[in-house]
Amino acid sequence: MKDFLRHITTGSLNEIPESVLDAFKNEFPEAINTEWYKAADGFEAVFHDEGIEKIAIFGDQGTILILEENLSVDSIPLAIADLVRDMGKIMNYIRVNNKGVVTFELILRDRNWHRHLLEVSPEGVVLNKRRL
Amino acid sequence: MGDNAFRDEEIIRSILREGMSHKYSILYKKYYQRVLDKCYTMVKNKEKARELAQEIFAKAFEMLGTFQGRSSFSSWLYSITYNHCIDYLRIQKKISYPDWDRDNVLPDIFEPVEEDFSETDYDMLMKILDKIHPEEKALLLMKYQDGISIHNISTALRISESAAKMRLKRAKARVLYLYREMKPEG
Repeated sequence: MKDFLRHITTGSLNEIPESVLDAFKNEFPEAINTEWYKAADGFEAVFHDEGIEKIAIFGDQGTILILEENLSVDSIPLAIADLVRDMGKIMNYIRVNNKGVVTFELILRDRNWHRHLLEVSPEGVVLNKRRL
Repeated sequence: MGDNAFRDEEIIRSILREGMSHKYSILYKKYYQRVLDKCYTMVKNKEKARELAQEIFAKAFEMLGTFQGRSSFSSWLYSITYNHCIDYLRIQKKISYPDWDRDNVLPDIFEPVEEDFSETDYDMLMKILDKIHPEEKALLLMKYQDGISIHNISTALRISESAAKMRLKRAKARVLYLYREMKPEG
């Protein structure tokens, strides 16, 4: 049981390059609860910032590659709210900034309780959709 | 993967390739109690937990052909277990996670330290886990009790991998907050 609890308080990776740590501190000075993981193309930080969960992936040299922010469903842009209004209930809403290109990842539950993962542009265009 | 997992895989191979479906009873006997315990932890009703456990073994048998051996059989079975319990709770309780999360905003997020849990016992942990949403509870148990990968957790709960990581993060922050609220004054 103690092990279960210890996992809650500890991250899984300790050896992060200085360049990555410096870039992280510079980009997210208020970040707390940071956990580091090895990602396919660098290092992944999962943390709290301004009360929300964020995932940032840094390249080995400290360049931020991807930033994902777990936003409140209430803060969804109007174009996207209009798009999904008849598609079902929004269960999750993540803003993704991939090397400067912003998209939104939504999980929707339709009236038959099926779940769908949508990738949507800021203009409200569905880029990808698949059933979960 | 240990010897135990190899034995499970041998049994599964003989069921799938040689049609020895009676061998499923070996896996049933081996894992029934653990599946039942997980069901009870999730639904807190003994009769319903028994019913769900039966359904889970029937479902796992039907899905046996999809088991690819990338994780152990137990991890695969437990993923089905949590998926089945969460589906049951989603439909029966009709409490969606976003609505619950909106009504249960974390008042504060702490930087955790290991000493935080030095005084925690099993009962207190269960009390804490019973206070959080079943989906957060399932996430924590899958990850930290059963060692299930984020990929398999996201598949079981039918959310994206990013959503699984972020909800897990929130669940951990909530457990820490509740622990500090509930721990006896030292």
